[in-house]
Amino acid sequence: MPGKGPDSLPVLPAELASSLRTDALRRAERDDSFWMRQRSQIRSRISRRPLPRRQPMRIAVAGALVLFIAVLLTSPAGQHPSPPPRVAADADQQLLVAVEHALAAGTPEALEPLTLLVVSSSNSNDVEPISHKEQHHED
Amino acid sequence: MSLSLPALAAQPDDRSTALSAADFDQLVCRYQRKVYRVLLLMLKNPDDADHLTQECFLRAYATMSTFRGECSVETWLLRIAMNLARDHVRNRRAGFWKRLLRLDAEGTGEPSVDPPSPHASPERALLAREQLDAVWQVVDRLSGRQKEVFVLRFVEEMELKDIAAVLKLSTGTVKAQLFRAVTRVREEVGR
Repeated sequence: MPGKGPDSLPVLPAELASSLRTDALRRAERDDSFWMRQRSQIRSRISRRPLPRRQPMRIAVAGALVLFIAVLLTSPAGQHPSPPPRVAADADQQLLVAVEHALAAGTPEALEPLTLLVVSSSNSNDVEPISHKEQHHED
Repeated sequence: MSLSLPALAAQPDDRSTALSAADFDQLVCRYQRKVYRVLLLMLKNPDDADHLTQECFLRAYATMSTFRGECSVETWLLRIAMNLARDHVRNRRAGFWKRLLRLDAEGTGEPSVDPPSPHASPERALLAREQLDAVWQVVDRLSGRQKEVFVLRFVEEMELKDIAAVLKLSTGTVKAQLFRAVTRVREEVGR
């Protein structure tokens, strides 16, 4: 019977245990050429593999990656400068420039009569309040 | 018997390659039979055992820098071997059972009826052979953990604490697993 107490070891009959071990050793027995071939294949496979990397390097790379991700995740989105409305600003700027150009260029020759009309009209507007005043005095 | 490798594992990068090439070859030479034997008993397939023995040493080489000498090299290698065997069985369970049957039918290239002792009579030798075969068949039907414990205990004759170190179990768990394995073997073989 196998041992059941806390200090006793489960055992097989000595003869059976011995036979088992002997049988197992015999089953796994191979000639020397087998072991030499196995060693040679291990050597060859090791030489084909890249060198084992150092642990500290891996840790450093992993740490840097974690730090990078943490910074990305923890930085609040509100603090990012929002991109200016470039299209609108550009359009306003272009319009302003165009107006300035137009003012600087003066009036085209074909529109000079119209300019005169506008000037005379504005002159008459300047006079009109005086005439109103006169009217009031007359009243 | 066991070799300690903390010095080898602690070598700076530029020297460890040259050192380990020679030392590692010595390590392979020293432990390849044991690793192969355990894997053969676990997997019952010589080709798989050969392949995984190589894999075991390759993995050992690749993780040599992490070996801190907290256990013996033998324990470390057997732990790698057992993990490989477990993964292999898990990944190819269907194929494993096929190979198991094939091995039972063909043996490992040796005669299936092999007298354990040259002095035994043919009848007695035949009976002993049959009994051994019956034991192995029961062992093959044990759970993975019980089988591991049984092989390490009765084939490799390891102490319970060493088995516990290889399998990363408590000594009490190892003892319980061994007790169940032995009980089942004795019940089924009828001794």
